[in-house]
Amino acid sequence: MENTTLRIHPAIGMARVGNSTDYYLGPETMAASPQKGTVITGGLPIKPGTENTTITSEDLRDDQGRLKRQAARFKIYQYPNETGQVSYPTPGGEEVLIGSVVNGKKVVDIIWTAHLANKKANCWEIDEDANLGIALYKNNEFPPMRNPDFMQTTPQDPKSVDPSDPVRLKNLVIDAGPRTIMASKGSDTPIKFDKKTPATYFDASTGEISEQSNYPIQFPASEGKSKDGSDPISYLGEILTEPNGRLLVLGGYGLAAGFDNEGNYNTAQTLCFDVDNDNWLDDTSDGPITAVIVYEDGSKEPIKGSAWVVATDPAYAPQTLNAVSLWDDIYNTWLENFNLQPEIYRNGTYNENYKPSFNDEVFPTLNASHMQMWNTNLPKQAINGHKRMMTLTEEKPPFDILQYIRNPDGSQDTIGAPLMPLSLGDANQSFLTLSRQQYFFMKQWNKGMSVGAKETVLGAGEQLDKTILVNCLGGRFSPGIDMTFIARDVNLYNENWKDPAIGPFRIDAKTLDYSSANTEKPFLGVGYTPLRSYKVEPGDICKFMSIPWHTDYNSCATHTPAPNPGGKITKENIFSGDVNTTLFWSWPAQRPVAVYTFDDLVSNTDRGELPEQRYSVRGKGTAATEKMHSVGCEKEEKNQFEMKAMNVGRYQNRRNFLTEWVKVGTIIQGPAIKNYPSDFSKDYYLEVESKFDIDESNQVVFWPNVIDDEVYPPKQ
Amino acid sequence: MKKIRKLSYWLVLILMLVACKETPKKSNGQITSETVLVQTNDTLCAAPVAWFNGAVPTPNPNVFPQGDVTNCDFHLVSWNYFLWLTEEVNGELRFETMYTNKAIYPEFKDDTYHVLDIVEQALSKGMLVDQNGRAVYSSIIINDVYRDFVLDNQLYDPEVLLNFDPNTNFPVGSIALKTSWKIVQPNEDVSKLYTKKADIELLDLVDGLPRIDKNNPNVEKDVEVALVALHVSVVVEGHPEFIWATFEFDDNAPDFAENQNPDAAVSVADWMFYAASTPARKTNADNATTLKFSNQEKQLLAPITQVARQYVNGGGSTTNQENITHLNKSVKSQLPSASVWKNYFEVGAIWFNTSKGSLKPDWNPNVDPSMVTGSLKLSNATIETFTQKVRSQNECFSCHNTNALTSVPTDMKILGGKNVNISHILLKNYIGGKEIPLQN
Repeated sequence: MENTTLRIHPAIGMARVGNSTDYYLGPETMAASPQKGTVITGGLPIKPGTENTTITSEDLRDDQGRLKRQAARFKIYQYPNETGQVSYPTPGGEEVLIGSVVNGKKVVDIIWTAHLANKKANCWEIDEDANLGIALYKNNEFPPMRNPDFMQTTPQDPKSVDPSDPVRLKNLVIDAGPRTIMASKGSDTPIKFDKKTPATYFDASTGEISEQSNYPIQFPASEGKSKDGSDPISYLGEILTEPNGRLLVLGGYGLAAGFDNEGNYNTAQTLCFDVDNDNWLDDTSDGPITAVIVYEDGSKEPIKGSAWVVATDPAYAPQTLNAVSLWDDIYNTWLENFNLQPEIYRNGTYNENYKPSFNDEVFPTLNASHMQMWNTNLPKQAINGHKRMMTLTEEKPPFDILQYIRNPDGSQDTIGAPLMPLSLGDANQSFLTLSRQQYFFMKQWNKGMSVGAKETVLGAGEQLDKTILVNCLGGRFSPGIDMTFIARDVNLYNENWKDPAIGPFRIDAKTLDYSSANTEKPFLGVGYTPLRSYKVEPGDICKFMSIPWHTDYNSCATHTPAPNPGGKITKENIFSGDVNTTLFWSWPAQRPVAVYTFDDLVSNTDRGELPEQRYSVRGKGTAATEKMHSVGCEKEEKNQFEMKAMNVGRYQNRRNFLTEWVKVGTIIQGPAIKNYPSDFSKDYYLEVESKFDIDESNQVVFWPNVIDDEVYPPKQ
Repeated sequence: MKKIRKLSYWLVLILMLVACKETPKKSNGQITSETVLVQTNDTLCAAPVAWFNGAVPTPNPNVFPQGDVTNCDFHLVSWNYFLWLTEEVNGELRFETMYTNKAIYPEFKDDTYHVLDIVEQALSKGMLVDQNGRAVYSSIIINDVYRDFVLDNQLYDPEVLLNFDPNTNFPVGSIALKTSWKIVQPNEDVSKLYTKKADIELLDLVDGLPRIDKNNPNVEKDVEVALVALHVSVVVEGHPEFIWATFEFDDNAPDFAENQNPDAAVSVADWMFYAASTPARKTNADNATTLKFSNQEKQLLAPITQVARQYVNGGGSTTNQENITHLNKSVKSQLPSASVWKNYFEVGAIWFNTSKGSLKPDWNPNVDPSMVTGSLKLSNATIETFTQKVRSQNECFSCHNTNALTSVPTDMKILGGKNVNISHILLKNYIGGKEIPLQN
């Protein structure tokens, strides 16, 4: 290919933590999507060392039973630069590997640089009480700052704390700094983001990899012994390469670390909140990915644009498609703000003549509804209804499907059943809505406009951009799992997407001058701030997520709607009929609530029939109590009104999940399970590799379960 | 024409009513649920004395007030139907002479064999277990108007129903009933209840749970049963949505107090389906997944269901509730002292305020509740015990609406939204006799 431009894909890659040193590769097919030539649907991770061989149940844990990490794999594509401007979608693009020819020159090596950091402890709260998401950043306002009293002797106003205070930047930010790896040497020698490994970067002025011994590598509060789930954090992950030149990024081990107000590691800190826990760090991270192509003639070509990696929670149900994925939110942002596809959206309106592709733009939403059954306690009738949706075609549906779909215009946010999706909504939204383009596509299909519509053809790199994000959570950003509400902020992205060297969906990365690093001064600043035009630094994506991630994952099983359409639930009004006391799911595709286990299936006397469900999180300490009782949180929990049924399927003491998350099983498709009987349904998605040997939680009851339900011990 | 009907309705009613005068109507003729019949003294909505002098007047569904209708009118007509349906005719109650839901098929069009064949409650799949450990039974009954409409239009044929005009309504005069019966124990005092001998389908273990084996039900004959509740749904002129009224035995279950504390007892007394001092949070506990036989041979089940009525009068406006209260009092005070029907009461009724909307395909009250009026959270404590507490299922229309039926087997066509979908007998038949799934 001649006159080409190079871009790294995916634009945003997802690594996932695990407590194993081992790993598999993140999925490169879309969750639940039918795949040619196999009964295995998309979303399954990939075996390391392979192009696309999907894992089996035997690959989820290492020899010691530890949960493997998920590596984010980055690839480089070259695009013919014919028009000088990118349009979307752009079919084509050819992967650049070692040995490829780019503009007539043979590629002999690729120099990759990544930079991982975690700024959670010096970020603003999600503010669980306010529950307004990004709106808290409007009008030059901010939510309260986390750790407001850090290194202070008197209580501070959390809204007046200066996040650019060097003391905070130094002691509350984990910054491993940049690391550079040569693909030709990187498959056997990973480079770690830890205290010991020196920071390195590609110095464009010299054309060489440079070690920056002055880089202020920061691992605050990392001296001490592990205790009760608090572990010193001195590692955020590592990078390595495939022999063909691709980059793999691994995240951390899923650790959380307590620290005291002076910044010393301290295991006695409390975890009284789901999202915003002061005095804690975790080892999730994010940062930019850049690359330099090395040619046979010795020349080097830095790729102008960058990609971004986010290391986040494990994917316990990789094949379950979210009703609203992170892709849906990011794509919506791009459609409506960056003139991405004017044939769909232009000048503030959707094109009423647009014919959506049923397979690409409609079916995934129907498919997602069907897949929820594997992670939730849906009753049979709902399952049947969803399953029936799977048989619909591009033809106009035989009923008015919009009567079942919540309008994303805000008019139906408080209406639960029968409107879909039937899960909890975003900040300040009782129930979830599809993203606007999802609803638009559904509306067009409902009018019969998908008949004969063209399939949407993406280039391979573009497809990878989409696939990675499809497999992440969208819709409910309070804060979410992979990324939060910032996904909808135009300020997060590089608007110059038509530049062939940039392309769409790119994070607006700050240019980092590593040569200026100084051990005396934190390298990273405040960075990206929602609704402001600051460039994005390493650690800016994950910083809005729960700290530590464990507490939110644990708690966000099921809840009543918030805001509750009838007002706050109290002991006095639960039977009034005004408040909605039914329990709904937070993030069912990413945070499984109720599962069918493979072990139960094979021991079921009714051969091949689905057994009773169990809670996914079901170890000792998960039996529901009237109130959650996180140690040291008596004051915070004193005035909370809770009933047992509100607390099923989670650890009652948040602290327990810091150690027990590694036991949670993974839900994968039957044929990918070792020794799966050939006569069992190939469409079952079952939990395997749970380390909860004894179910100590509660019996799963079908939706609609309510807060005053009796809870019962589980079946043994 | 409607005006003439309205006039004739009131002519009849004025002759019957002694103390009932209509309130001045709103000038625009549009009446809300707050409009009531003003009574002298302190009673607001009263039953005509004529109902209690000889035979119960036959309700005329074709003559029902329209634009100037009052809330009381609906409760009056509901009570009228209840008394008429429970009137003895040739040794049987009138409703017992009507047809089973099997009569929608030509080959069973005269079927009046009312075997008690339902134990699972709709939606929840729970089963009301009485204080003696026995399941409470139900059966469904229809009248000739309902049946003939289905037969004439061949709506028993799924393909015909599939293609049936979505806007066609059930005809005026259609009646559908659901009965609720308790198994009478030896030496049990049922003097306040209507009792009879009935055939019941016995429970068996089905998929590990006590259920009626619908493929091969065992029937026990001549079991003494007592009527504990009756759903009365009727189509009167202008109300193809049916007026959904429900009646219960007085001593079935206590009402929740206003602001009922979940830890507090609902009542310190024993009730038919409630043990004294049971805390509110222990009531109406769905047993769909926990029900077991304690003695299969004796058809005994565990756990016992403790029942309480979550919404007094089924909720609704103060006027609605006062009308129900007064009308119940009025009826009871006028029924002969020996009548068992003195021991039953109207829990409530729910219908459309036609000035705000009328029945249309693809309608669901959870999405558009604007035209629904009357007892807005109406459930029968013995028939919808467990769904009372579920916000999206706590009234008649939340299940009986005109949404499409999508929860069909994958080899079946989805039934589009239709006005006749409001009655589940047709939907049940459409998917082969299975329970009608709520569109979640």
